[in-house]
Amino acid sequence: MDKERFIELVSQEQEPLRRFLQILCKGDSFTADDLVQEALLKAYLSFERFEGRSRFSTWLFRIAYNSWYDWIKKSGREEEIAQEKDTRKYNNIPDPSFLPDKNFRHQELYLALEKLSWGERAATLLFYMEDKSIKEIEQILEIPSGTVRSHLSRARKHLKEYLERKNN
Amino acid sequence: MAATEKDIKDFMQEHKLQIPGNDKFMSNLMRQIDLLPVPASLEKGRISEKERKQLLSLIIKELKRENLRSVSGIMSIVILLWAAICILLWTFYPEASLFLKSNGIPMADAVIFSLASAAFIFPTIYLFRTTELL
Repeated sequence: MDKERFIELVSQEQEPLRRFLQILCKGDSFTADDLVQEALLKAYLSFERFEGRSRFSTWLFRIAYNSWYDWIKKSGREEEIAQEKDTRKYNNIPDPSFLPDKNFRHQELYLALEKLSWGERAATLLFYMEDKSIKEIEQILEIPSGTVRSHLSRARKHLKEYLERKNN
Repeated sequence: MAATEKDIKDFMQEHKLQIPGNDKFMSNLMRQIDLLPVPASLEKGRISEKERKQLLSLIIKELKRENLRSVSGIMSIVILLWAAICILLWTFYPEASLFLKSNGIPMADAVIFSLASAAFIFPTIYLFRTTELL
């Protein structure tokens, strides 16, 4: 693969990456775009590390997710993340500050996701919005497939309840 | 009514964020990339490790086929030469036929030895060629 091909592939993947990080960044599109740009430049400079074991898209998502993860750690939310990373201590703590501006046009999506933890939210977005498989989510979030399944199961239960409440 | 898996999928797809400014984002990214040196792994004309292995495998297969063709050709020539020598001796020197009859076993040994030598020497030469290429 040469530089032109790399750019061509990246231009196909940038929109899903920006969408994924924008939701994780609670609608802050500027931060999300900065993080995606940083991730894509990292991918460009460390392309020799791409071994082709996973799809190129999965590799980019992993780098982007790690960039977001580093950013959230720097912005002082290590405790929530630490609780989620250690699955033995996992107690499904939602993020109280997840809801974005009231005027934000995707308010309903954020309302549906607000009670989910970071991991559940990321797995849900990847599975239902970006059509990633469990195996791909496992590689992107770097967690075991059992944890991905349990994240999805909790998210599914929550979203079903949310939709039922909404319909009634 | 209970929500189904399909309802969740539909809800998520309906609320899929439309991301504006793809061109602007890509032009910014391109500008950043142009400021950076091209990594060795993305240089034009460079072949990847996987491609290199595939190429080597093709070369080896081709050399093996070539070796087999050469060895078969050489063996046929050696057999023909021996047959020609025997026929000539048999035809022009009748007394040689007596010699051939009485020394049949050593003569057969000589034929086998020359065939075996040809079969050993020529593939070895090609083996050296293959090793040089690798």
